[in-house]
Amino acid sequence: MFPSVLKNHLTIGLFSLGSSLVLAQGDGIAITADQQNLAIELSQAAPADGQVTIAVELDGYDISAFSQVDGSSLDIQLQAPLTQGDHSLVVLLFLANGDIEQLLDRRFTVSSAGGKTGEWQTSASLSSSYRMDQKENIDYAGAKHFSGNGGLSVLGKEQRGKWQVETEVDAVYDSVSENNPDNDEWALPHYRLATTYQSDAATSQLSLGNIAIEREDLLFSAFQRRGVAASIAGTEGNYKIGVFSIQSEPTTRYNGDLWQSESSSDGSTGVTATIAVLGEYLQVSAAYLDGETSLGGAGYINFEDPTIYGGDGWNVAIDSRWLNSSLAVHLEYAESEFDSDGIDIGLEAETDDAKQAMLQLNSDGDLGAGWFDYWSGYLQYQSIGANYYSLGNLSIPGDLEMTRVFFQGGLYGISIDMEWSMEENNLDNKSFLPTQTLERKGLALNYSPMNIDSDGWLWRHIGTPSVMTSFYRTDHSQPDQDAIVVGYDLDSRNDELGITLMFSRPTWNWSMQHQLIEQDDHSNEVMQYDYLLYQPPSDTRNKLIALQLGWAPNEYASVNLLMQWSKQSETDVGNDYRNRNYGVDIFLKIIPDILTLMLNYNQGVDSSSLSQTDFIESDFRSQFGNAQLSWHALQAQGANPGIDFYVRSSYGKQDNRVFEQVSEQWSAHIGVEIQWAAGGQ
Amino acid sequence: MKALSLRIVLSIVVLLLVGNVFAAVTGASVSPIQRQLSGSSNNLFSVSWAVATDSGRSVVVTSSNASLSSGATSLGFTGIPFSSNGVGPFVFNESISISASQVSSWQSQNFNSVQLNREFIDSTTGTSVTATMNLLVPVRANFRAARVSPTQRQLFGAQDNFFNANWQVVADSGHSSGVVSSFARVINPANGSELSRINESLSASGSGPFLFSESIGLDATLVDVWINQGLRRVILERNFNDPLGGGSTQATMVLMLSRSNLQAARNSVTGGLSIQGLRLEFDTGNNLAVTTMDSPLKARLTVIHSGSGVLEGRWQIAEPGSAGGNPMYRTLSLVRKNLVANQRSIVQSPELPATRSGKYLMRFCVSNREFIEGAGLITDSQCPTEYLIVKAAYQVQALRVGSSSAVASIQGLSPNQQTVDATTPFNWPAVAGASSYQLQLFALASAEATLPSSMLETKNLEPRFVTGMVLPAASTSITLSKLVKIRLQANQRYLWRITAHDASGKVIAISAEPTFIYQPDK
Repeated sequence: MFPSVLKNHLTIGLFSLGSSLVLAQGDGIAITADQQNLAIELSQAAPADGQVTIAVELDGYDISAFSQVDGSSLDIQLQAPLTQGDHSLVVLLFLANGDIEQLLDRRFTVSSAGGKTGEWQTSASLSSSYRMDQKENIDYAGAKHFSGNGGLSVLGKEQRGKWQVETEVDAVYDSVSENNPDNDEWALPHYRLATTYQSDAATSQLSLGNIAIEREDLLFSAFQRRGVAASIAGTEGNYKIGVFSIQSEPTTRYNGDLWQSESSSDGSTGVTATIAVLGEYLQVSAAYLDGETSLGGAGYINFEDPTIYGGDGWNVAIDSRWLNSSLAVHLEYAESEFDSDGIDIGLEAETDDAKQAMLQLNSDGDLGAGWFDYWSGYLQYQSIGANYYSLGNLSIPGDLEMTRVFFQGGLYGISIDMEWSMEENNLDNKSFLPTQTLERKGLALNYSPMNIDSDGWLWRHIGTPSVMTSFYRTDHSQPDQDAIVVGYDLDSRNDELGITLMFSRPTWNWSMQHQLIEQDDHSNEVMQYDYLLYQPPSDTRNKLIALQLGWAPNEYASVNLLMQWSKQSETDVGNDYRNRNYGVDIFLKIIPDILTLMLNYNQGVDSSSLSQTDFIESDFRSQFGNAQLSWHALQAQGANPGIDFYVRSSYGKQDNRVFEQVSEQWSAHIGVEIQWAAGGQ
Repeated sequence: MKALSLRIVLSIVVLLLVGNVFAAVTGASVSPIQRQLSGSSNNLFSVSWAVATDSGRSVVVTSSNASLSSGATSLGFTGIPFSSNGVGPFVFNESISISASQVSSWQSQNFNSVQLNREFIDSTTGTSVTATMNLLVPVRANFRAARVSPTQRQLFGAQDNFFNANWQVVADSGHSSGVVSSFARVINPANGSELSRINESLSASGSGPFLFSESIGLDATLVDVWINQGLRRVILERNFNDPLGGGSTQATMVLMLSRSNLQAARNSVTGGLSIQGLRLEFDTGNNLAVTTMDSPLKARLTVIHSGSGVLEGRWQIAEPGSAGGNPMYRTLSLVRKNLVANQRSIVQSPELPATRSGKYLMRFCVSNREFIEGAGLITDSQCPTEYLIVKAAYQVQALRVGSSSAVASIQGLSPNQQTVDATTPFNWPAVAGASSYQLQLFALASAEATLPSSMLETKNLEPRFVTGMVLPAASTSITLSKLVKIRLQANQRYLWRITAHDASGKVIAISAEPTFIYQPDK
């Protein structure tokens, strides 16, 4: 079993889910087709020479096994229908002398008759359970015995001529939620409705729901909120302009705030624009954002901070790519007028700026990989003013000047990450603030040995190895003379070392991880008027060891085991703190497709050992377990739903052994679940 | 014999007569006869002396200052002179003052008690009497240490600030007189001056260890004033005293000041880690997601912080069935991550379980000891800091569209971690129900250039599709075709995988991604 790196990143779509009759339209070539069979008339006949090999490539896949060339006729008979949309087709001749000739390089579109296409997918589940028994405690007693839970996902897309409509909805229902145990709760984590009109010159889109501002710059970072947006983009990719009005805080509400917040202090509006002035050689982008927000919303920790922040900001950036994108330059300037201590509180909104420059190099373009399999690197300078803020990038580090160099490459199974950065704060040289510098440097090496015989004597028994190592050093300090001004000192070194060994076989794998973080504090105590203002902290050593075992002998059973030991030591004072976590997960198809058993169990031990033994030490033990036996009474087939009956139980116990406080609870449920999924075109 | 008897009688008569003429003091007493001194404060107490005489005749009784002694050691004088005449008995009242430093001096000389003595003299006869009061000198407490949790706390000028401070004091085993702290005070660390005083007295009796839980409120105006003075860090200090013996110790909490929560991350005031905010999100941009059983999720935790240090925490999950009104969370993994002082750090969750359908709850709990309020009193050891827990949830659907069951896994691929040449076969096991296979090849390309402001985490390499082959159902072994080979570069490392498709094109099985290095001329 190998760790999957692709599933979350890349899905290759070639085949369709449906099989409705379609037409294919070629770009100046004659193509007749349904979704599985294509007949193409080549511009020239392929030589009937046994020394010549004909290869057919569809969307990057060699489909020669399903292709036949007879003179100038190419027949393709796929085993599965093609997806609707654009496809590329390349036909090559491999001649006996090593030459390669291209017979065809064309794009064609598969679409339904009449120019109307549609695709929809939906899945739903609804589970209803009854809590048969439980160990009561005050919190649980009030929870209803009957509970229901369900989820719904809908994806739909329909195209009529130049118009396209898209629908995406994810909804969750829960009758006994943690936060709202007495009432049914619906939530809408994601929805999006979009209509697109594509003309020959531009593509226009109007979207409602989850709007992701797909920019990563000084003004925006991973900014996705609910609202409404409109955009227009040149077909040639030479410009894109968008406007949006969104909520400032993330939400999952279904019964309000569907696109605009009911709160007047929770909204942002903005505009983004990108123009390719000289293609990839010179691209200019700019954006403006204005609004108000609080530090809250779905997913934020609740600090009960009533403060409303707000202001506006804009940026302008120049991007330039050269050498077939091997070299890229990014220059950006941003400015904001933002009230960061709360609107109508304290100081007025302040104006500040931010700027950054970046030079990036990589092996993907003309520079090539050289000795490496791949490589990339960048040099970055960034300066963010103390009062620069943006609603779209609210947690951007500020009052900071940073220079950073990063290199990443791969060579013969070794991947290398190297990093150096230097940061300095107090850009305005405020006398009451120390000027602190942070230098970080590090190296990470991952190695997967190549050309080892995985069935050899050693590797057959312990698994095929790979190793990950890393070392990072961070120095953080301030001038000694600042200590007496601010009342504390800062001078510390932090070393971080990590080693992970992984071994894998087709049916099992195991790994060991060792992580060591040492903080060496060199700061001095600060005394004034015989009063101790600052006492340096103890040096610390934090060690984490983990052992993971996974075994999946077949598709009917799997076992995963995780053990972690952590020890933090305050080495100057002799205090130790230990945490242990042991967990096991078991999955078993007792009767395939009929009866399934799932078990998991965790045990935790958290304790301390203090040099001052009179202080109260800690000694906690915890145990948690879950089990579920499912009878798959009816298997889902096509659009017919599946039905499961299940018995599930949970157990939890926490034991504060020092204070002799034990909290124990358990529950047992019986329930039924209906699952349904369907789709079509 | 008669003469002798007569002389005796006469003598007695004479003595009685003389005695009547020259009446004398016969005794003295003091009330109280014993008193416990305090070493923590000055001692001021009343003493009542009584002097008895032996007749109703007038006498003159005088006493100079009272003396202090311990055994044979004279310790000085105190009190005021007395003088009185008349017919006894006499009562003299006075207030005695013994300073705490005086007591401390006696403690230093290991005196357990000191005597307060007064001599009363009958000036007419010269006779004297003495009374002694015993003063108990307390044992000076030897407090070993005091500490407070949390050790630091953020205060904001934009809002009133309420927080809990849990103090813990330990003393020597012989200590029995309890502890008292009359007030807490906020100190300017730049000069040690007192900025504010919290007149909340804490006290406990016994031998300890002593635990105090205190709710503290500091209003926004006060904090704002301190910030306007240029302060970014103040000290909350409590002195704990032995109410009897006078020993003391202190504990301090660092209060970091910021105008607002938003600004706090930029006000790095020490090297220590201080967490200003937590955000937990999925790809939805919020803390709720819908997924399927074959598409396990990962969540992303954003930690907004000032300073640097090791983030201690744990990922926890409550499975369907325990995710009702009172979920039971179990630990998925411990987290020990070194946060560098760049104000924003990202922690990726482990792959979240999705082995059964239903609603999972998840949370990340910060467990750094320095943030725990009441380290000794926590009941949930897994999540000891209530205000540093961030939660999310995800719904797992048993089915995804187009699949009546989870996509199977194809295992046992070769080659893996080997160099391959033009003739190396690529092998995989047959998948029941497969109508065709796709062999896909990926290069480990550098990630698309990401702008530096969003360099929140080390970017994973983004596998880039290079080429592939569509193969008939009968295939379980293939050498790379000429077409594929011209898409590959010599000596480059690639990933490859197999997907199995049914007649409708649906993926019914998928493999992991073994690696190889392509060396056509090997």
